[in-house]
Amino acid sequence: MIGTKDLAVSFGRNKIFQSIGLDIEPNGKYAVIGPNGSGKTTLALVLAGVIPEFTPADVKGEVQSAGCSLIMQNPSSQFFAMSVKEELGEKGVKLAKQFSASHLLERNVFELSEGEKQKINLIANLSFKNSCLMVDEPVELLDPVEAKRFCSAFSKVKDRTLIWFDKNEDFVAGMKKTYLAKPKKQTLPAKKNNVCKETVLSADFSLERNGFSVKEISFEVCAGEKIGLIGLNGSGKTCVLKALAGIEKQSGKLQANKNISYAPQNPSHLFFQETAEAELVDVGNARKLGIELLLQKNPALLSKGQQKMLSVATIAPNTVALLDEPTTWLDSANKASVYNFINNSEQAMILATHDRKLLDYCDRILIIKDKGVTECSSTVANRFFQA
Amino acid sequence: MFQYSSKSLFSGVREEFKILFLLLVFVAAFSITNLAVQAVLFVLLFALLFVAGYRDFLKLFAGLIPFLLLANASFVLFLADTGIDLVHFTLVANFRVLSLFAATAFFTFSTDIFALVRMMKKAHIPELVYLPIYILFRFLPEIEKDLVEISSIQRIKGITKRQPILYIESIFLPLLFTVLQKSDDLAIAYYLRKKRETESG
Repeated sequence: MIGTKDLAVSFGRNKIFQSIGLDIEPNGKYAVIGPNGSGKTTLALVLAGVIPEFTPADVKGEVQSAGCSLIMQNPSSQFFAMSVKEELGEKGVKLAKQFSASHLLERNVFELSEGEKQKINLIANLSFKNSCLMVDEPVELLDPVEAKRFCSAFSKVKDRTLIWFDKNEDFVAGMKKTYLAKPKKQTLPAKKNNVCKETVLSADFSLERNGFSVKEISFEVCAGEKIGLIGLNGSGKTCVLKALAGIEKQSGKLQANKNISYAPQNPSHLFFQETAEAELVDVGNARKLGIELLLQKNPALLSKGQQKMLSVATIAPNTVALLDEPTTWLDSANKASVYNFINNSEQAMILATHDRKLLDYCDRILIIKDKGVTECSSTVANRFFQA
Repeated sequence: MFQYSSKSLFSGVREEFKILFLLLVFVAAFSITNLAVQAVLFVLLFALLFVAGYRDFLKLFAGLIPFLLLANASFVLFLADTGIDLVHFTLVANFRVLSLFAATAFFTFSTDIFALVRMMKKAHIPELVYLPIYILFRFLPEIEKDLVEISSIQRIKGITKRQPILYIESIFLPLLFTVLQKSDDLAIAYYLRKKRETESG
């Protein structure tokens, strides 16, 4: 039996949640849904026995959770062996066939894609006899294809209690759902049309280094235009953005009539000031994104979702903004704020993303496929997301 | 730096032999006092390093020269009145240091860190010893990647080496937080793994 009654957790003065009640039946499939900052990871760590045994915290209430293992969000931080075979051990190697992962056994962990790493984490956890397996936003960093593969592997798991923690319900169909906070109804903005008046950026180049290449990157960006850039994990979306920003070597032509702003995929790479306000060029962006309350806080101490919102707010006015996965780590309310911000912005933007809804606010979509960049219709984009 | 899955000419040689070779060079470098023999040892080691496919000699020397200059200056300062043949002593010491660095560079360049850890595991060396080594080298490339990423992001923001304090701050602080976050994740993952193993027997 796994469950909690009136569970409250706080780290010093910082209350994470109060009075959480969970009732989990053995061998059931459950989803725990909650927005950014609702305490999903903390709850998972309590059930896994990390809090308070390993990470000290004030825990009040009742917890029943013997034998729960946990797969965390970042697949790379959970490997301790050199090869997949060593990571899995004897029992795991036997299980690999069942999960169509036999071809990965001889590989080095460095050579695996993020999705493959997460799959190996799943098999490694299943090779032990724990009665319960929890996964904390396991597909957050995966592209749609890798995410679907992981979900397909996850659906094969039997004879064990499964708990999936997530911000939204995209991947938890058929599971019994528990909400840590009531989901807010979101009204998504209608797409604004953009009329091309002047070209602010024109690119015609190729990228090539260490066996990695993206060729025929050729497009122009109009003032105010929003361009979506899609592709699988490792296809080169970030490299293309960096090349456009002038920090990745490219061979060809690149002409920008305006300065470039860049919001990276990992927001914690950006911040070094004492307050969030000091990181912003235009404080108005924070108001537009609804994060005014964060302005006086230290960016390093914010949650990943809050950091992501702040990183979007750091883009400077009157520049071409390059946003790398601007909606990763965000719940539906924060995503809606970002859609709204992008839709209402007068700036030209290039958005590398795995978020299908974000593409609805783009004037054009570029796809990186077969080591080349081509413009695609929303039908092709839909097919990519349903792959 | 240690190799990660890439092959050099001596990658196939067993790690035990490489460790033995490294130890022998260290013993030889410290025990030989004859200048000519030290010079020959130095030349042989650099030739071996070249044959192995190593080409970063400039970086190696650039890192060594300030250290050698400092050491030589201190010899002149502190040993001038002792009656030691300073020229001979300094040359032997310099060749000695160069040989030690060449041997270490050869060892790290031709050794896959994973093979080294595997050897330690096979030799029943406790996990307490090899795991920190593995984790250190497993995450070094990731930290290096973070460093490159952070410095390029700050360059886009217009922060350059012309503002040295701001530049260092803008790179060091995000890197520190990223490393702390990674080590925290890693510690939790390791705790969970051990707990999982204990609970399921």
